[in-house]
Amino acid sequence: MKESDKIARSANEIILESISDGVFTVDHNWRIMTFNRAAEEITGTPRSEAIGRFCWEVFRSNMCEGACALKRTMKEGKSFVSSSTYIINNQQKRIPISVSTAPLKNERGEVLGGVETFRDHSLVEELRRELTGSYQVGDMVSRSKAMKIIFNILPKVAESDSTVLIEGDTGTGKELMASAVHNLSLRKDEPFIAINCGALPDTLLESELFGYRAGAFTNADKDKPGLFEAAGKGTIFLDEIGDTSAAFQVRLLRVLEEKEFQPLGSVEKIKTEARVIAATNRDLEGLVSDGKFRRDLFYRINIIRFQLPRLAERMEDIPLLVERFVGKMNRFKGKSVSGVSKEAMAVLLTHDYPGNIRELENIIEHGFVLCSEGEIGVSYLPAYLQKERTEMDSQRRSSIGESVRITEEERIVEALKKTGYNRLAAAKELGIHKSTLFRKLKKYNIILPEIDGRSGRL
Amino acid sequence: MKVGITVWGNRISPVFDSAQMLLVANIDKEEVVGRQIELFQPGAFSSIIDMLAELEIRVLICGALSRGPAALLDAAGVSVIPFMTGEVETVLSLYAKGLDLADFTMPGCPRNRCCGTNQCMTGHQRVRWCWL
Repeated sequence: MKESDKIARSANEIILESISDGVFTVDHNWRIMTFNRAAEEITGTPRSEAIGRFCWEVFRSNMCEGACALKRTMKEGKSFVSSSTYIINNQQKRIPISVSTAPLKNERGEVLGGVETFRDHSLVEELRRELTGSYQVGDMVSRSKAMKIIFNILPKVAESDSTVLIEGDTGTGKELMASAVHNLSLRKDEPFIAINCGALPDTLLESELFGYRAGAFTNADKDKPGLFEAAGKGTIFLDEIGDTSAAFQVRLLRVLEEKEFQPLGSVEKIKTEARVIAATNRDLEGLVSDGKFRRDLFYRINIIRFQLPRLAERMEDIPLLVERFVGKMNRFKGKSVSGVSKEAMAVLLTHDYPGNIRELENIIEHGFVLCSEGEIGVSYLPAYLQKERTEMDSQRRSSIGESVRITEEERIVEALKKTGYNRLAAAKELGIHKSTLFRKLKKYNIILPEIDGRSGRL
Repeated sequence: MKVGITVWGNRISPVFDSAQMLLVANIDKEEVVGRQIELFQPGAFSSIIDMLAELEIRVLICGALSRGPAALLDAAGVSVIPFMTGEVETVLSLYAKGLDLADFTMPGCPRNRCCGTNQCMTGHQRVRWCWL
């Protein structure tokens, strides 16, 4: 080999080792021939273990089984650039990557194998989610069927100008969903204003929503615009609408029907173009039947209704939500927690979450207070979850003990019947000593018939 | 007992998360006495877990498995032997005989590691996997 070739070859090796993209080459049998430093880091597989193995054993991409880019390259002899996919590294983490492939050819143009270049997009993906995630459907992540149905119709609902009613238990994400409706609508550049109607007494709620004029009441020394006015052409979110008084319901109904409102102390009405989204954690239909919520207002706001499922009904989302909360809190709190341990996840998956997603987020935050790096283990979970785990373990242990007891008792009775109640034969059948059998008969209170199997006499 | 293996041709499917075929093997007295193939929607983990429960599969042998579905399988009480590779029949017959499957672990992954105990049992004696 010429000196210049040697230098070029050595330079190529240095370049391959120094770049941050993973690169590997395969032969015609899909065996890995070369594997660079970045490929080691991204896959978590040392070069010494990767060389000579099938590429799918090391690369572990969701494309391997069906849409292998390298296979297409080798078949067509062409390069392909940037397919997005993911791999699973040796820490069981999904790594989003982009892949480019090219055929390896000799001087005569014969295909000798293929080269695959891949780039880790974990950080990009995380930042993208963070940038686009807040107040968008993209932030309401879910794998559950019920949520997917909601996600599918949400853009259409957002585009319409209809009033929306969101029902769901506390902590299921009603406000997040209202924000999503607003951000997907044509009003997205206008204000989004949320108010908890259940938290304020009637008079205060009315003055907050509709505002007041100077002199309306003592200390009202200047005009104060209400939230309807502040919302302009935007969206106003009325949370806990089921907890409002009958008097307030009448005023709200009038605003919704006439699209205008009257500030306290004013004789003039002000037009409103704000869209109303209402939410409740109560059974509004039941309240209507009980006469606690106005029927006419219910039908006025019940144009499009969403029912958000409880977290206990979408348990498949827990690992996904945990991952998001851990990522979010790492960024906000400057920590490097890698996730929750397998045991802690098992505890999280068996809890029934009366506080729903908010409770899960609080649990993770609790873990973050105590844990700065590594995994959040069971000991970092709130005490009530650890107690649940202990109770579960003891229940499991006692049920195993019970099963053993029943099985042993059944086997003894079976052996006795088989041997015609001959105690010695039954003990042999069971592989235990006769005295052990007698002890167990006593323990399980097994009453024997008077026949003993030896004589056949009564 | 019944064991499930996600398959791709005659090999273990490289990635559980995108696998679509399950071989259900019935093992009796260290021999595979019955086989059936089930297809499923890749990534629909809830329905896969329902299917495993319906088929009374307590042990799942599969390729690379990410944390999300791993936690779901664990919570559903399925013992998983993940990050396995190789020909299905070879792995299955070794498993049926209760022999060590460590040689069939994917490169770069821990071998011979078991949860909670210092001793490492193999095969159907103890199949719970611990990621250390």
